[in-house]
Amino acid sequence: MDRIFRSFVLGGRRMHLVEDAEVRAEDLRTGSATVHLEDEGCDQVVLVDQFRMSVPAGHPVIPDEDKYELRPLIEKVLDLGFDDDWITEITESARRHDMFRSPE
Amino acid sequence: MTVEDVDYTYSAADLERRTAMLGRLEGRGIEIGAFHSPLPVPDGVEVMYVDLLTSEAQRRYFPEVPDDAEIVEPFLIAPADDLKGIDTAALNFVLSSHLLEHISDPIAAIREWYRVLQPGGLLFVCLPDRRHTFDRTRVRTPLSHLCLDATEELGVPARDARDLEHYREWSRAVNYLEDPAQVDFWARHLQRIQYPIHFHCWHPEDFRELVDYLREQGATSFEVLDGVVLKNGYEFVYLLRKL
Repeated sequence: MDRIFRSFVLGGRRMHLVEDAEVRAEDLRTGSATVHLEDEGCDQVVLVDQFRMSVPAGHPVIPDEDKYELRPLIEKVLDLGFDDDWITEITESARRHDMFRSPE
Repeated sequence: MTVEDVDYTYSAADLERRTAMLGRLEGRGIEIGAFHSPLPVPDGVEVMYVDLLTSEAQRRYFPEVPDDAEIVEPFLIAPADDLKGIDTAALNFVLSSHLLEHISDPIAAIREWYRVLQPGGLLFVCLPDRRHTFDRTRVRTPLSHLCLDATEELGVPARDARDLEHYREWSRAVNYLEDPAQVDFWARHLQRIQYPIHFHCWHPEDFRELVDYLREQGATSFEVLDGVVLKNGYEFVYLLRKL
């Protein structure tokens, strides 16, 4: 049985991770996160590039081993029970510091 | 009076005392970590700014700073405890306001500031008092802890673990997280981005103890010229002279 993830609000839109195992595997392979947008009633693939941001000169460079993959990060913060504000805080902080790893 | 009731603004008397301390500056020196609040100095005094990041990078790093806040542009990008590019005994003064608590090895920083000062040069250090900030629920940092930080480089497991514990304290005290797993996750995230938390927190007499200890050890030799408590106890300031 697939996992059920709770819904959360990110960027002003309520969504949940699509639970289907094949979708999840594809997300992990491509570094993306497929979400179901609850108000729109459709799925959307969030690409890791949408969460990447160039950092200005002098900004600390985060080593690759300390970076996150997008879907596992969202799953992790959901598992830990962070609320929506924290999910935004964590993903935004990771974005601002260029902490998302691209797929191999 | 509770901590929340304290008036954290400078009174006229506070400003007068601080101005008197800063009024002793002359010549050329640096302010480290001035960010968007450079200290006022007397006319004719030349201040150069040192910071870890450019003003543009600081704006990205600290999005909570209002867009209209003017961040000073550093002339030197360098860690506060490694001022490469500044010659030994080159400066008349070093200014550091609400900075030392953000440095994971304060002894290294003080030694470095001592190095760049001329004999007779002044060190102005302003720090928050743990009891009047969000640090009030944290453990007051003992001198022994600072000594350990000074003997172990970053990357040494024990040192990294001590720093991580500070990030955990911060996550609980400042970010109000309670769940241990959430605390641990956020603390590790902050450590990864090297977020400049208050690594240590002190009372006024702790800084004096540190200065005396460093002199006893022969690491630095400062004379304390003045020490004041400002903003109803929120911050304390020491003015030291290199002997």
